[in-house]
Amino acid sequence: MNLSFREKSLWLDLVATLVIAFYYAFALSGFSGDQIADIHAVMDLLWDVVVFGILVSILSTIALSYHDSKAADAPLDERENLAELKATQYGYWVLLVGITAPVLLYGLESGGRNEMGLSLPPYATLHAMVAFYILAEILVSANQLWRLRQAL
Amino acid sequence: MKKQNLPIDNRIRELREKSDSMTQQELADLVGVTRHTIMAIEAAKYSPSLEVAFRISAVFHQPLEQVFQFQPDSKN
Repeated sequence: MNLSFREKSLWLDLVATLVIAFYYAFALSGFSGDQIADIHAVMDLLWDVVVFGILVSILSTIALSYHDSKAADAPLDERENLAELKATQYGYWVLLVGITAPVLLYGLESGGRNEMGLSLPPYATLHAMVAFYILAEILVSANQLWRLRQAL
Repeated sequence: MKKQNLPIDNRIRELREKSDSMTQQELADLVGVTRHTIMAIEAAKYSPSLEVAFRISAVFHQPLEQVFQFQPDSKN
């Protein structure tokens, strides 16, 4: 497949985000009951995810620049900008839900949990926000890739 | 050629061939877009902005309407 520099870059972003998402979910599913309730264990996991994400982003940018420095220096053209703009709009809606849902979860956790008979895991709001953030990132990259393949 | 039936057709491929077989990459460099964008415009899958349309016309020293034709019957 004949991919543009932008598409290669987006594919790397998408794969890196998916790897991070699986790592986060896998690590969290392996947590014991004590670890899930331990803020230090949860923050350590988040720290790992952030550092890994930054490292992958830097390394992929360097690798792509080495592969094609001319294209790496060029700014996005109007079609790529438009694809980014449209895709980011979808990501915005996911992030909006990602803010609203944790607020509702927080309300349930702190107030009405007992009355409603709900029992949420510890730090559910935090994990929900991370999940929505990752989902938004995946959606933005995937949507741009689709639009660039369709021409727009 | 027109998979999405965009209402703007063009003669870019023909004009490139008349211009010493100018490549898509050469045209892209002259216009300031990527080769993939030129490919998309040529295939009528993407309608360029007015600025890019004028830039393409200027490369071929042609008026805009000689390079791009509006097809009002096509559905977007």
